Amino acid sequence: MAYPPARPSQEIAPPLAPEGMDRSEEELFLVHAPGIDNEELMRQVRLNAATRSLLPHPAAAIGRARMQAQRQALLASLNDLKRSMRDYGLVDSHRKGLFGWLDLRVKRGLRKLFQRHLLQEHRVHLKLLKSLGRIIDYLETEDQALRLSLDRCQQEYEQASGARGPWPEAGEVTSPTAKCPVQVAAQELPTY
Amino acid sequence: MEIHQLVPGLHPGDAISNHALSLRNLLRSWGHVSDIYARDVAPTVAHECHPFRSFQPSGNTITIYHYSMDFDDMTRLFMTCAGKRMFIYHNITPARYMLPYNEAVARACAEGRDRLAELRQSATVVLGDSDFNCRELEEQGFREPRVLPILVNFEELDAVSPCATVLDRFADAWSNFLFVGRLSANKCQHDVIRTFARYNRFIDRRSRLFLVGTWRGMERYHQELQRLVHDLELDDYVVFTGHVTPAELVAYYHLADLFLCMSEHEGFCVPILEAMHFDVPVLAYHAAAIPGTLGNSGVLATRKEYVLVAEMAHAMIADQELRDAILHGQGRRAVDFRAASVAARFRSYIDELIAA
Repeated sequence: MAYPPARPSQEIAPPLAPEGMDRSEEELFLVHAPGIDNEELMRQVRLNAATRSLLPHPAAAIGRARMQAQRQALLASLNDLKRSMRDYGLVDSHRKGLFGWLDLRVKRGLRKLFQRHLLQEHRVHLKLLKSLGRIIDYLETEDQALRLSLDRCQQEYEQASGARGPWPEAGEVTSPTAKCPVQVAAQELPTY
Repeated sequence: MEIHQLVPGLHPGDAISNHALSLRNLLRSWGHVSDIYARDVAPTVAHECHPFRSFQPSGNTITIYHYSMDFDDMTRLFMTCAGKRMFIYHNITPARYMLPYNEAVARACAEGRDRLAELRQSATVVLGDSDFNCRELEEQGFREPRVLPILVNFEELDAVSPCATVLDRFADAWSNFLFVGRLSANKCQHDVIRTFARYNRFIDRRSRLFLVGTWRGMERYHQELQRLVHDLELDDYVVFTGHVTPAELVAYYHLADLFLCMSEHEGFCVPILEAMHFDVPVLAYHAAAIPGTLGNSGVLATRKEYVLVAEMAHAMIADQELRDAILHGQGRRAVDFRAASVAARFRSYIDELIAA
């Protein structure tokens, strides 16, 4: 999934304007940390704030929310399935009197006759439900493992590439023959 | 002696409900007959209390009223009941925060504040959860309000194993921000999101924010927050957990690297105590009862300058020396809220009331 171009930082919060520097940052925070030089801490905080730039999304994060929403939807449908299992309805008759009594007897007899099959079907449904639950768990675990590997891969790439720039954003690699960043990183790593 | 409590609502996970249950257990352990009478009760804790209409105090009964929202029938019952009376003020959220999202709740809050002055002569002993609450009581004409902090039973929390599913789902090296509290405009989750947005977009993309708490009654605010998260492109980084079980709550505290609170109105703020207990450094906005609860610990921001607050959050996460110093201070502060010291204080108030 490609993200739309990042918005300028002003939309999230006003950037640290030069006039903002006039304010006393010592007043902004009350730091209760014995042994810490608050002035030095504030100097560092101010310095860092002035030098930040917008970061690209890590590949491992992309689509995580959508995955979570789909997982919730799957679990909801499984619960729905569970509720509807063995819901065969009551044996009843709309007729009254002798016909009603007869009707009810016949229907009950038929239900009894098929009871074994219904129970067998119910057992199959239960196993199916269990399997579906396992598949969801497996897919979730796999998704998590893939994201972890991807994240580690990206971090290693970033460390290896140093000043060469960040991981390309989704959609940047346009040619099918273009090398993926991991390959590039592997080729350009120094050999020992 | 019979010492009973009147509570507007009893719900699992609610700070005032837990406080009332802990006080009841204490009173029973001191040999008193003690029960809770509640108005709005969740089915899962119905066995812990009686309907408040069945409350029939005698001349020897002590009645404790937990006031966090006005319910006319319950307030009238307290004001006219026989025996001695103790009033505990848990504060009421100013209606202006609730008005855009839930008019009924806003009206109840406004009425609760208006009614407060009427209650000033109703009790012999008047208590507030914090100095902030006591100041409000004094402004309303209450005489000598004193502080009784919320009794938080950490032993119960320690006995709960963190939820393995939650731990597994977020088992990575990302930095985790946490805020615990029902979604409500006075708790300013929107400011937490904005601060986190600055951190995530400019400082560390490998970070996420857990907003733990229910949005029952505040659905419109929840939708607004979701929209804000989407507009800031943070969908993959912000997790709205909804109501959580104690095991899940403990898991989120275990995962957290920073407790970020931007709330503008709190009568006490129990989650700050929980964060202290679980060794999570606290960065909070300087408002209402929060400075009183934090005492000389944690970090307080006096203005909501997201850029610098996010940088401070980064320092608290990344600078081990700073983190250790803050946690050391928080550890010392947490001692003040130990169950034993709160219980001793509560006992002295009860003894005073009995002797009065």
